Amino acid sequence: MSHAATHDHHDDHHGAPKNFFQRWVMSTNHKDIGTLYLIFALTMFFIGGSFAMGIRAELFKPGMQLMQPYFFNQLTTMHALVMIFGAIMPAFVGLGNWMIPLMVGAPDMALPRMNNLSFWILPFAFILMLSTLFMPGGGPAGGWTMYPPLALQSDSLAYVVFAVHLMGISSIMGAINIIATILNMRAPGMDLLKMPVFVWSWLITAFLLIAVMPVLAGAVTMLLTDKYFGTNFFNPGGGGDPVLYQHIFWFFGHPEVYIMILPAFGIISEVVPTFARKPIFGYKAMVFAIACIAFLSFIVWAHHMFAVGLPLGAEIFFMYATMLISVPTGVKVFNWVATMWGGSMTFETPMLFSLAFIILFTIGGFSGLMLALVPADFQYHDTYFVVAHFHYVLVTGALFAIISAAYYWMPKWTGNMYSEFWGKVHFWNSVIWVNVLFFPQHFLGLAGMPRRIPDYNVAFANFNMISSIGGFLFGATQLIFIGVLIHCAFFSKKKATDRVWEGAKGLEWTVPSPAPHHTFEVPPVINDDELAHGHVND
Amino acid sequence: MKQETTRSPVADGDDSRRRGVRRTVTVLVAIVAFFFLISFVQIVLMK
Ligand code: HEM
Ligand SMILES: [Cu+2]
Repeated sequence: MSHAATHDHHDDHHGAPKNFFQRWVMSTNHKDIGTLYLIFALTMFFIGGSFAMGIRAELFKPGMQLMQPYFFNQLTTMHALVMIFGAIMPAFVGLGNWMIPLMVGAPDMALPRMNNLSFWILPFAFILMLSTLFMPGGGPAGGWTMYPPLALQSDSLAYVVFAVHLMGISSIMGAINIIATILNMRAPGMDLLKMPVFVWSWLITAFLLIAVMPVLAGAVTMLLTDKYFGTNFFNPGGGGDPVLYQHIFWFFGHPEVYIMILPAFGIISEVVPTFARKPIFGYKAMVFAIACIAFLSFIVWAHHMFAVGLPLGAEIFFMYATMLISVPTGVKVFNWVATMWGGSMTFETPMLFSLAFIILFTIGGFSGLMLALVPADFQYHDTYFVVAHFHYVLVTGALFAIISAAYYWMPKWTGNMYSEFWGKVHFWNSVIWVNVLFFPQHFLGLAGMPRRIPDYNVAFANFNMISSIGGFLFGATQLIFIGVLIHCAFFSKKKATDRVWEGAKGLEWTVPSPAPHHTFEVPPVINDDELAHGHVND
Repeated sequence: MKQETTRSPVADGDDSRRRGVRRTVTVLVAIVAFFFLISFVQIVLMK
């Protein structure tokens, strides 16, 4: 690896190694590794998406259409694992890699070689996990939550556990790198409370990752030893308890869902001020709200387990703790709206996706609030209402924020403007079809349709067909995104300016577009007027 | 440990930054190990 780096020293202008292998496989450059993460996430997004198309095709009509039930279960399990660990999380890590050093004025991540390792573990982990689909026993089929004893029946458990370990190691190393970068590599004068909200959101998210990924690793290790090494952690026959698995899993699982939304909050907090041409309303409150949400996310896990039969006191505690999260979340939504209030807004594609996020994520928050009510959850638990809830927060929430960020920073990455026309076509189709896809699932859930099943009562036929049509069109719409990306990177004739957006503030806009291979080798002199939050303490 | 990707005088010369990174990583790795082990302890204590 040192060869690649020494080579860099001689290359003066661009500085990127010319050799493909050296540049991409041995990369220690935060921008190249960020690009690798983003391409990987996009690939996984389409693989996970193809599983979703299979699921919606089977559910298009009642009755068994296309596949065996066991294969259907593999599709739902793999869809979730691929989207969560392969698409959403790596996309945020890619955005963090690209933008955090640029935003705090650092020459690179604090640990560039570990950065390379964090990325290159992932393709192996996912090849390992996806390969189980082609094995005689098939892939994991017990759901992404891997509850025992069901998950223990799977022949591929050992492969999946090892893949999850690899993903966990990758995330932990990525998180350590991000924290070390933010705490130690900021340019002089970039005080913590002058950092962009996106950087803050990642700092806090990285601490969540560090606390909960090891717990997931512990939980799946216990699954493995229960299946193959004769332990009885979760086996009542040997004095264990399967409900304990659920506690451990959700102690990871709930913070995990916030890992997938806090960086999204950060992105929205960058995009909205830029296109409203106003500084964010209540910067310190925004940072504090993220920290509060992160703290609360550790004491709400059992809201996923209301129906297992917890003691009444626990049900009430977890219900109120969960409802408490609405307070800091409400602060954030209020502040985004207040930022736009009286601003001179324009509606370029990143802003459109961010606006859709604010509205649609809030719908997901409200359905979450409904699920947090213990007596209501007794009815909604394990129905399509839950499926509708988490797709509003994850698709129109996390994914829309990622797409918004891609449009927002793409000109900085490629040096070219994307096609605004096709961006808007992508946006309007996405926002319409995603609602056709997921909104009817609320009704299905309220009417009692269970999740994770390949067949259903004919009473649910109409809404399922509508949902499937929305699903196919939402899936097809994402091909437009590929077109926009390729056009922007390779064919667009319209060059981006350094600032790109009229209202954009922050260090990342002071470097040329496309961002050169090395930036801030000499720490920038921080001018508070250039920063979005340079004057918070005045 | 030299950061080879950069020619930055800060990364090369500044010892405090390098020590800061090291201290941060040490603390974080300790947290990771703690949470990994606690998940087993929790199970063993609770069952
Ligand atoms: C506004 C705050 C939120 C509240 C009050 C809330 C509440 C809940 C509750 C009570 C459940 C369990 C439902 C059940 O299984 O019966 C649930 C499930 C879920 N939530 Fe949320 N939620 C919130 C925000 C989010 C966010 C921001 C995300 C992700 C970005 C998310 C992702 C999920 C997922 C993935 C599940 C389903 C997990 C599974 O069983 O597979 N939620 N939520
Ligand atoms: Cu939760």
